[in-house]
Amino acid sequence: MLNAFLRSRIREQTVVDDLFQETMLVAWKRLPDFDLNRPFGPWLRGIAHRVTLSHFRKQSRFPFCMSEKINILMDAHFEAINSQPGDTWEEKVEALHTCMEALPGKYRSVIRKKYFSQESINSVSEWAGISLEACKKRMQRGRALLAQCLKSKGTLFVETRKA
Amino acid sequence: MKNSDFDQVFESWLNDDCSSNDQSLPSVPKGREGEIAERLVVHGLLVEQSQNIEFNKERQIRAALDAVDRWDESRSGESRKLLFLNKYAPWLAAVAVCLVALLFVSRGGGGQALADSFDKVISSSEKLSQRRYAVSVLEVYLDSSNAAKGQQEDLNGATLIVGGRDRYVFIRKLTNGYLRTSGCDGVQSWAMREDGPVHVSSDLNRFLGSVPGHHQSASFVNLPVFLHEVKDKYNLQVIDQDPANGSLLGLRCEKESVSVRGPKVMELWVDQESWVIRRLLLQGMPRARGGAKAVELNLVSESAYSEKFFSHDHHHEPEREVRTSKKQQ
Repeated sequence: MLNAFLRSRIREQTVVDDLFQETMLVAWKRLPDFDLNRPFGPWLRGIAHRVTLSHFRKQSRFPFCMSEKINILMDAHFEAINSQPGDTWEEKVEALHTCMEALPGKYRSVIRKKYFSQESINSVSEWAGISLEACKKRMQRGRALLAQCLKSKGTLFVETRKA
Repeated sequence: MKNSDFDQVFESWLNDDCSSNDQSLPSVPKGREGEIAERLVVHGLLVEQSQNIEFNKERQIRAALDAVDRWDESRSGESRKLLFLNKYAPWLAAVAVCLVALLFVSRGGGGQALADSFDKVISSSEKLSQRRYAVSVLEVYLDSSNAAKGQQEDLNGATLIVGGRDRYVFIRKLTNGYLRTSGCDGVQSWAMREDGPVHVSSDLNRFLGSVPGHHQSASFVNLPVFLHEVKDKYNLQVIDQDPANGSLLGLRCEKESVSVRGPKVMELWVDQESWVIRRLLLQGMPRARGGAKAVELNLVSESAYSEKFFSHDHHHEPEREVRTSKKQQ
């Protein structure tokens, strides 16, 4: 979970590794403060968020993904995942694979190529025989369909708007 | 910034298509925070699920343990540490056991002999002889997912015939009573319903997708390939000899990491002379396909190898329509 949480904000693997380590160390140090009656996930994600924030502050930049509102919403999604049936993280995110299978072929193929074969977006567009822009659009649409599917299965949090 | 400009920059970020110094992205347009948070989470899940997670996790946990060690060493006051340890002993013990198990159990104690035994099982499974297994479902998920509810195949009572790497035939019943047969002859994979055309593909994994327990590149249906994955990604342990049948050796395989897709635990009961798997128990099957939680395969018979048996021609009348799958785009 922590990996996915960090991965949704940080692109570079080395930075994810550093922040993962820093989060674990802070959690270890603060373990005496942890209230055993409260859920562990939000506590750990809270630490990860602050560690990430501090990382960006040191670099004097503040990416959009670190805004408080975005953070609250992302946390709600991770909490929805956490409440899924299953003992392990893998079981809790099983719907992602079901939703991948349910995607129309043209979206599934580019997402697989980009993420699971770890190809660059340029290679994916060449492989699919479409322009770079069309490929980016296809990726965007594919991810949106995945989000829609995950929401329908309750894996992602559904925001209800106030009238 | 206009919505369209933001989208362009945001998509470039998600697609890793901008320079690494270009992370100071603009602020999110008002009212779109929900959608952006959602897209970020989907992206994070895809990256996390697609990477070589077991390797990364082990590396990350090692680094985290080192950092904790360094911090502990730098602390003074042994009594404070003891107080802390007493208070949180159960917690720490559980964490320590998990971490140590994750890092060291995999090929510890007697590891080489165990790995050799497992290699013998793999090489036996790759031998060109036909082994027929009966499949039984021992347990199903009670809260079957939508995918499981829509499941059209019954794994219970299915027959699996393996004949070496990428050579298998898998026969199971559909809920409408018809049989579905799929297989692979090492050159092409195929699948057909009793009453339908034969679908053929040069992608050897093409028809594994409908098999419960299918995960990424391997499925228990393609036994030799599956066993190679098990060797790489599961912790192996000798269980014991089967008291009812002294010549069978039990091997327990447990996932090294929760991020490995596939059954949680497996038990292989193998003949110590031929190293043929007599019984294979798969527990904690992935939920994505089908409602089977635990499945058992029992060796029914062994017979001489017939190359033709694994070809689709062998399983249908000559006039049956054959459709070759186009490459998926």
